[in-house]
Amino acid sequence: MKIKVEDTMMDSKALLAENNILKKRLHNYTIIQQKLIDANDKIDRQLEVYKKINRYVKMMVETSSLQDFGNIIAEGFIDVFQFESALVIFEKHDITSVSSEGIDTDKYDINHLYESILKSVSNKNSKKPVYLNQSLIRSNTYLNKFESVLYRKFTSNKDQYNFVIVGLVSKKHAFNYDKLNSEQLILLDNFSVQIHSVFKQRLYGINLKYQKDKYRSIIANMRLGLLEVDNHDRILMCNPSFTEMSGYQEEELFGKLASDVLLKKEDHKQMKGTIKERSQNISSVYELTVNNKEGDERTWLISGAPNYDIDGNVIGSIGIHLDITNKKKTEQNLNNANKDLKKINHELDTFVYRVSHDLRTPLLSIIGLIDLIKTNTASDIGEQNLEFINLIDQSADRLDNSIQEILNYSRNSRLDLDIHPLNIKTIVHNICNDLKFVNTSIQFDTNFNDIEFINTDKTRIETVLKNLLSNAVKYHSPYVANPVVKFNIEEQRANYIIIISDNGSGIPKESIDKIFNMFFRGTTKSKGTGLGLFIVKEMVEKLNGSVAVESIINIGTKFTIKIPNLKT
Amino acid sequence: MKNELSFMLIDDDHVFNFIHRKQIEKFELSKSIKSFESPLRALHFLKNLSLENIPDIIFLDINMPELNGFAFLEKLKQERVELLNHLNVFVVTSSLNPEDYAASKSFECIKGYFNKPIDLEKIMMTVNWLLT
Repeated sequence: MKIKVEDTMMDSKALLAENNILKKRLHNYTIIQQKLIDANDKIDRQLEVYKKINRYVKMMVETSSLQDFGNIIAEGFIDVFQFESALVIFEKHDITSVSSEGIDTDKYDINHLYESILKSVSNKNSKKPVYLNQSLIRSNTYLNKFESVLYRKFTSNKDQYNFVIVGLVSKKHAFNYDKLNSEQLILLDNFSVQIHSVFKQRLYGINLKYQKDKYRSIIANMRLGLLEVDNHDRILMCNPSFTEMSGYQEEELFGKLASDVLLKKEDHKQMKGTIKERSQNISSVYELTVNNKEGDERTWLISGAPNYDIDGNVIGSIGIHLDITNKKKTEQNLNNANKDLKKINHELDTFVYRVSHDLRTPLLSIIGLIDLIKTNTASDIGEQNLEFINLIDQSADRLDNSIQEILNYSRNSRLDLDIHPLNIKTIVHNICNDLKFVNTSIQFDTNFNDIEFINTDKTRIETVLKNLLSNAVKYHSPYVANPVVKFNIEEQRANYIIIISDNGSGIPKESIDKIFNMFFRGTTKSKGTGLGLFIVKEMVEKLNGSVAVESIINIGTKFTIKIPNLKT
Repeated sequence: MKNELSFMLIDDDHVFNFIHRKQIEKFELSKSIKSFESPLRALHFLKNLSLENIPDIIFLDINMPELNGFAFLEKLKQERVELLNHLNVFVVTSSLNPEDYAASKSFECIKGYFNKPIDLEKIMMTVNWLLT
């Protein structure tokens, strides 16, 4: 038998080749297997990370304080992303909460650190995490101990808060953010967003709790008594102020009928009315006389409103109670005092009239008698006697004017305004007609600009106009050929502007500031009391108006009065 | 109207009655002038008059002892209400109290309200207007 060497050679070659292929395949399988193991590991790691994140989120939800919340986030950042240290800052109005983890607070002042970071953040309002510029970190003496800094800020304009998370890695750990892969970035963003959503929920929770606490504390501490009753007036709840006001302890009130405890028998009817009102959804404010535990009568001001259940049915009412007994007493006293004052005022008024009447009566008889002498054509009294009589007449007139002015002043300061529509034309024409008797040479030029009625106080406006117009006549210039007194009234929004001007002798500069002063008399020629213009000013001011004067000596004087169109 | 009218002056101050009498006389309007310082006596005089004898014009002061001007008219109203409708009363007063003026508005027989010193010409214009 002959053995072919070639054949066996062939066989071994083929085997070798086959072996190589298998080896390659095996190698590939190993690689694939390794890749699968790697992938599996990665999934496991990620799963682990997500689990971690979930654990932290759960902790965040369960925490009670903002500080703890921040601490958990900082811890989570360090744990999940292998940061060395983290800083969490929350700001809302006056609340600032800072939590830190892994930062050596002996070495770093947290606030200072945060300020340094803020300075180095270029895009403060980015919606993505911001890594601080390496060169910026290095140039900051405070931050250059850190390798990398991550900054993430959440802001809500609506709720007005800022919420900042900062992650820091120190140089010795040599963590490089640039090498953070896309998965890690996604993870980071995911965690941030989750934190934010938990945070928002918490915020509303905090708000709700805060509001609840706020109202609870208001109700407990307010000086107003609060009482809640059911539809049958049975007491369900009251606050400490109510127990203080009523003198009863809570347990003495609960379950009892409010009317039985607090009201006198005769007032039960009124209470039934208000209970009925509540059932018809009507709120009201009313005063009620109650008896407290000691039996004292107190007056309460009560603001009552229906109380509803969650479906909107009336289940009773809530009342806010204020003890106004003392206020009532004061009010009563004040009313009495006011009444007395009014009576005294009226008596004083009558007295002033009476006195002025009694003073004037003999004076007026003197004036009347003098008039008789002067007009008595039958008697010849002689020129010199006539002069004496004229002087007596003038003195008597002056005395009468003084009495009337003092009366006017006393009236103005005490009496309230009495507002009516007044025909200004008639008033001015009457005054001018009277003045024409005094001096026939003076022309009156009146301009009413179609104004007929003005709403104001008759006695006061008459006195003011009479004083100013008669002054204009009295102090006319003897050197002017055509002495004229002008009256002008016009409307300016809700005001009347009255101007009384003349071309008379004018007021010297040094006197013009004083002419409205009491008892000021500008010239020895003045025959008055020095009260006329003082009264004008007082009365115009009483009419809520103002008066001003301009004057040039020997050219004329102009008084401008501004008075409001008062409501009748 | 010359010397046709009868006047009655009621004022507790006889000087005013004198002045007013002189003024009226000067105008030569009156056929008779009666003056009273006591309102009570004036009242007594008036209430016993027959309608045809009542004075045409009465000057009445307000502030008087015994009876003030308004009380005087009230009393007269109580005793001779029909008389009141025929009276022409002119209040002549030295009171500047607006309450008095307001009170005068409630009497229909008060035809004028004048402050002393009176201007008789003004009063006579009103009288003239009333009687014609």
